Amino acid sequence: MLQSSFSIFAKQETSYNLPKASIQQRIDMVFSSVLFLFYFLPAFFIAYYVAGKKFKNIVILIGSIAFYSWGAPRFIFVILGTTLLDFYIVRWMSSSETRTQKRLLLTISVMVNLGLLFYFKYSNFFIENVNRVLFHAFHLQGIQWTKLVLPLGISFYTFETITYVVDVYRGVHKPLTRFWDYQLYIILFPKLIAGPIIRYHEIADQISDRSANDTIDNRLIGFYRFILGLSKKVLIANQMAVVADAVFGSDYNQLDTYTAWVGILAYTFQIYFDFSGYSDMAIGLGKMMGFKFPENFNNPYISQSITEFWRRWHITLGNWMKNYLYIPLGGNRVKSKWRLYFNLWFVFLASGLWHGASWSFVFWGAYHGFFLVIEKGFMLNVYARLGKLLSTLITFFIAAVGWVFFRAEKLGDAFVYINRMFHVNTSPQSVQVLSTEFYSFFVLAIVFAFFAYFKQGQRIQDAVYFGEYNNKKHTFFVITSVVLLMFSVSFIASNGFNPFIYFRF
Amino acid sequence: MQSTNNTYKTGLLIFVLSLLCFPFIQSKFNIIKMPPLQGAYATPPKNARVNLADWLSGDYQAKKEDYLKNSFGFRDYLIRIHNQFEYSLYHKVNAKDVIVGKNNYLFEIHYIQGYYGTDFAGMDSINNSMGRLKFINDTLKKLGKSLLLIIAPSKAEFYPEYIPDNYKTPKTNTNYNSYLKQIKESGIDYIDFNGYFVENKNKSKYPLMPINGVHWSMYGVGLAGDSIVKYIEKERHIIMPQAVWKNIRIGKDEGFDVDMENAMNLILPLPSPPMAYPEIKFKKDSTKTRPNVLVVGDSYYWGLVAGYDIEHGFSRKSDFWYYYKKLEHGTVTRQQLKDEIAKEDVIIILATAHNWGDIGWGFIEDTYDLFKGIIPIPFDKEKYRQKLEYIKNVIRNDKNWYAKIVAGAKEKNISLDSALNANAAWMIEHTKQ
Repeated sequence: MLQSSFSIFAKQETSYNLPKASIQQRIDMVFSSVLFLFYFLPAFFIAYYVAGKKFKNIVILIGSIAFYSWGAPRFIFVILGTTLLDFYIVRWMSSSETRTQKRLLLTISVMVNLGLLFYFKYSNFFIENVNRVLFHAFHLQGIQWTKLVLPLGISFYTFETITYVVDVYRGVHKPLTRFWDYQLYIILFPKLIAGPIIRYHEIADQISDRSANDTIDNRLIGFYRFILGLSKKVLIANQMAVVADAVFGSDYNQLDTYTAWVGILAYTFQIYFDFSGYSDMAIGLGKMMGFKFPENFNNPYISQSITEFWRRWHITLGNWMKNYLYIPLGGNRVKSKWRLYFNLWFVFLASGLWHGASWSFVFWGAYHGFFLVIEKGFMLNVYARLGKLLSTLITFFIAAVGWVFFRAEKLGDAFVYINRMFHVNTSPQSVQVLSTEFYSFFVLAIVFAFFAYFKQGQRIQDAVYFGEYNNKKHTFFVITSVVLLMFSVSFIASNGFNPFIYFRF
Repeated sequence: MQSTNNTYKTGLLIFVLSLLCFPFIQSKFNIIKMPPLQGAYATPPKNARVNLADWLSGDYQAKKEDYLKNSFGFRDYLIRIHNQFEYSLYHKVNAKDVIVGKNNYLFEIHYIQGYYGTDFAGMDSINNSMGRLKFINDTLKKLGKSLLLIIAPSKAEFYPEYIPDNYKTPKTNTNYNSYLKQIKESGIDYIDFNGYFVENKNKSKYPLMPINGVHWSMYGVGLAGDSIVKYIEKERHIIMPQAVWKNIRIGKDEGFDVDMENAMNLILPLPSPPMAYPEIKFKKDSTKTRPNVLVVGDSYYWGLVAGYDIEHGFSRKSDFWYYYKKLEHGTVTRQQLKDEIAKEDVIIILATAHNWGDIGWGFIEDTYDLFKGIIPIPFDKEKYRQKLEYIKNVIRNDKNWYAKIVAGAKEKNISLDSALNANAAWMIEHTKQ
């Protein structure tokens, strides 16, 4: 499967600002591909379950290296090389006697990792902007540069690498003694490409001993979670993507108000079901192996403020930003209110930039940062007075408008799009893809996105994710999973199959 | 108790893992026989062979994934499940250009465009073709040969009341009406089955057009076949072998009558009124004349072959050039055309009403040139390729034009290169003058 069909998040990350034709086409063994579902997945788990306890990590390592090198055969050497370097720097740092030496090695490790991230992810963006300035200010030709391809998952594993070195530096956890254990932590395939971002201390003990979680119940529950994620991705996100892509691929100046809103709402649900579906699949696969990965989403669209939204959306990134950027900046414990606002805004600008190297991502981060700051100032009190329903609707509205910056190719385009959303134009629908089929999946998306808004919904979700399973419940979920799997694969298989009645020209 | 529970759960885990292995096993051993997918679609990709360069560039992986996606076990059945779901719930059809009309009548959109005239070729083009046809007809007459134009029925002309409202447009000049008017005035021999079928729609004992197919019904084929034979007999002053109608079987629609339904690849059959299936065979009789016939036509002729056995009414030397061989070889050489015309007694040009916009698909122009003695300029492949590359470069260097092509390729789900080629070819074609 080509890059274009990969999880929306990674797509944004890898192709955000390069002309598509200039990017080397890459393949990733995505979880929703036939290759993964019917070849890699059964082969891997049969090998994993058959292998003795001593060999299980070897099976994971081989599987993960195969998984990564399938999609990014050249970059496997980058990931192997940098992890080797990091492992020994951290070991050296751990055994260092002086604080200065420890700090120096910490700095070297962080600089190496961030340096690689900046090199691969931001150098195109940086040079484009420098060239723009050189041209407009000095009429100079600019720097010649061959555009780079981003190694798969680099944004995720770089952050994990940093947690390793920082956690060891802070003494939160001891370093790993064997290189291949460290390699396993970094390259563990379920979370390698699109998270969750697992902090070192959250998983360190599980690398050597997973006996507490490696139960038959967890293996089955992990499978259900995987299928749930697959269904979210294939049956909802992909259906939303059809409309979102058509609307965002059209001429924004021609958009009528209704279509502009349907387009952004479709994208709002697409990105949620795509990304959270991917996280579900990763968590499920981890569970099937006996790992306990942190949750990454918790019904973000039922949030009653943007502050709460960021506790429910991409939770592991939020935690990373909090622990490894916000707190080192001083966090809440700063003397001045303005310093606190600066810290918040800085973190969100960084978060925006992490999602992709373009001004629209930066603006998206600043947009969220702005709402966080005003919420800290007074809006949380306003929300409290407005009540649950209104606060939820306002928050959803803010988040949805924010996605325009995330989805539009350029910052200027995003403003044109937003203008179409708020400038009432009742001319006939400009994009002809709004079908009954789309609306029925759209309703399904709304139902599941707001499922936990009500107590009963939350209770059902908790029972599925965290409840006890007896045989009856297992039987029910096996049947449901098989039906969902069959249905999802039928959608995957049909993609692109549209025969003529007979050949003609 | 705990151990029983664990055994049960282990059983469930083995079951789900086995389930994930089934597609691989099925693709290798084809254990469960399933009906293959119908319709015309691209040949499935071949399995990829690995080498280091392809692996490192990612080509091998892309090819392998493509191959697996198109060949995994139960794929055909899973596609049918998906199609059935979309059809049952949304009346959505996953077959190219097929739509569901009122009362579940299936249509191909080109026929609807033909009915409303949105594909009208223009009077200049029609006058041009008719002028040539008249010249060809006169020349053939001088050579003792016959030209017969056959207008096969169009489903949209036959069942306009079932065209969905959102496909309706104001009716303008149509290729069918314009050609028919001119053919009548030209004196060229013709049979207008489209008009005949529409006229007899409510008088016919059995349906002349199917609900779930795009072509004439097998009963309609029988009537049309008889008319063609009678016409040739009268025109050529010959007696052809007799086409015997042995029996008319009444039953559920099948074969050609469900060609659109087949391409939809559903699980459940679509409803239809009982259809008539006459069993027609040409009687072997060496005392009768089997004329040499060249048919240049569209898929309607296949109906005559399958339902009327017409090939046994014509001589063995007869030929069918489907869309003037455009799909097989692309071109018919001047010598081939000359030899073919020389050996035939009758030349039939057959197309459904909407296909008259491009009637002959090059046959009329080539035959006209042949009879006029005009030697076409030989096609210089290399020069053409250079021109194509030049225009592609111009497109690439024009930011707006290039962006439009990229968007178009994405929309049509074709590669960028194909889109560039198509646009460059269009430019060459339209800047000839």
